[in-house]
Amino acid sequence: MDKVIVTALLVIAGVTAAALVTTTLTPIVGSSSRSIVESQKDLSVRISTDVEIVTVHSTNSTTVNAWVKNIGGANITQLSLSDIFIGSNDQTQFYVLSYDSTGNLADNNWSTAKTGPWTQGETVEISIKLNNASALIKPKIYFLRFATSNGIQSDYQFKFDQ
Amino acid sequence: MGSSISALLIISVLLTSVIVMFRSNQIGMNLLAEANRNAAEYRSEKLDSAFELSSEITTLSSYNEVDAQGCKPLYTGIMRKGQIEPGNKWDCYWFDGPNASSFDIDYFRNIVSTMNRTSLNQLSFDYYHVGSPVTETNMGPDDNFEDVNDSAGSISFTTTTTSDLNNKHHLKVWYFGDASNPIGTHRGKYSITLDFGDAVDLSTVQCVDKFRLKNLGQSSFPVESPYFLDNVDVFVQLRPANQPEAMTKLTRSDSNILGNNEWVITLPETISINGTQEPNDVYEPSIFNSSEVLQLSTKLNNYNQESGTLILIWPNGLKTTENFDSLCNN
Repeated sequence: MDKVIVTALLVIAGVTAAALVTTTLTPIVGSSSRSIVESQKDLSVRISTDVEIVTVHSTNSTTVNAWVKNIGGANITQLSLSDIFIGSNDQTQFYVLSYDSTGNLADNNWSTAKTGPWTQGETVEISIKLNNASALIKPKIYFLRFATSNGIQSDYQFKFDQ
Repeated sequence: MGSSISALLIISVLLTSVIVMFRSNQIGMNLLAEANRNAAEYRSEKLDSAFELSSEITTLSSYNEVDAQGCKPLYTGIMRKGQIEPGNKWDCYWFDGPNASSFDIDYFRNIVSTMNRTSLNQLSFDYYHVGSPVTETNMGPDDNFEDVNDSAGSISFTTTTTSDLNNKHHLKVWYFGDASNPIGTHRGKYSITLDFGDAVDLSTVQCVDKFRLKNLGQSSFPVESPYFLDNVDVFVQLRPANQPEAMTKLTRSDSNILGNNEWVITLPETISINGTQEPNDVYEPSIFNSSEVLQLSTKLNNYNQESGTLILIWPNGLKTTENFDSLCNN
């Protein structure tokens, strides 16, 4: 009789221990596997992402237009999270531009008419407005840097000579 | 027994965990491999791509229009070519200039190649002042002529009148001995260049009709597929005199008849190279293979013969540019 009770207690203890291990391990394994897939997915998107500034044109000292092409193998989302910088090659001017979603381009802001995902091969036009204090100076050479939200960047050098 | 059951359960859970982790890692690695493969394909395509952008220059119709005397315009610095032979006994040109001014005609003749000539090398250049008619048989008034036998040289004349919008100076190229010969004789090819004041801007007589893109790389492209063409970008940067530069992104046209600010690409089966039609898109029709030549036509809105640059960006980001003095803007 004692043996039966002991055996039963051991079985209950064993099953309980196994259940505890299962309930503890399952979410850990699940989240670990998800994070592995997600991190490698992010990395694969980063590998597939590539952009190139195809041309830059300044109509006057405070208005610059840039055309940027998605030359990678992935669509680019969240274009508004991209970063744009303008600087002079002599390092006397450097401006970090902010995204303007209103459409009324404010000073030292950039905007684009592009909405939705930026598909492969597509070229989007970026409009940039500088304020008078940060206006381009003739005949300096400037660079424009465009960086996507996942850190892929392209540089373009242009001369302001208008 | 209980410990055995629990051990089995724990082992099975651990094994399942290992399998799940392994599988997730495999999925992640597949994603990475796919991305790496795409990136490698893209890099290799870009490395294998090389283009040469050039322009097809044509002469404006006004350059070949003749005046009431049947003469074509002769502009300073722009060479004219012709051939005096039976059936074409004389060529005639008009030009502008003030009175009592000296001008030169630089000539070049191919004498080494006989071109059906025997020893008849002499060629005559006659100057006709404003108002003096030019005919097949008459000689230049006031003995204003030169007979040349050399293969190259320069001859000088002095104007005796002033030209205006409707009345021009004329130059006749012929052989004066053929005045009474109804057939004429072989005198061969010649080229002449007027040296009289400032050179004429080429854009007034020539324009770029089409651009040509030659595939110098090893990659092939489906250039007649709209999906591919949608990813080709064409920009034109114009440089008007005393005005800011203007940049225009052109849109693709599905038709060969272009609207304003449009471009179209064609891959012709044959293409003219140095005046000879040569095979072009023969291998894999509609695929832009190595050594084949694409033709790119553009049409700009409000175009006033400004000089500029055409910028062509391929879907893989490769960029080529070509400067032009003037577009025909067909």
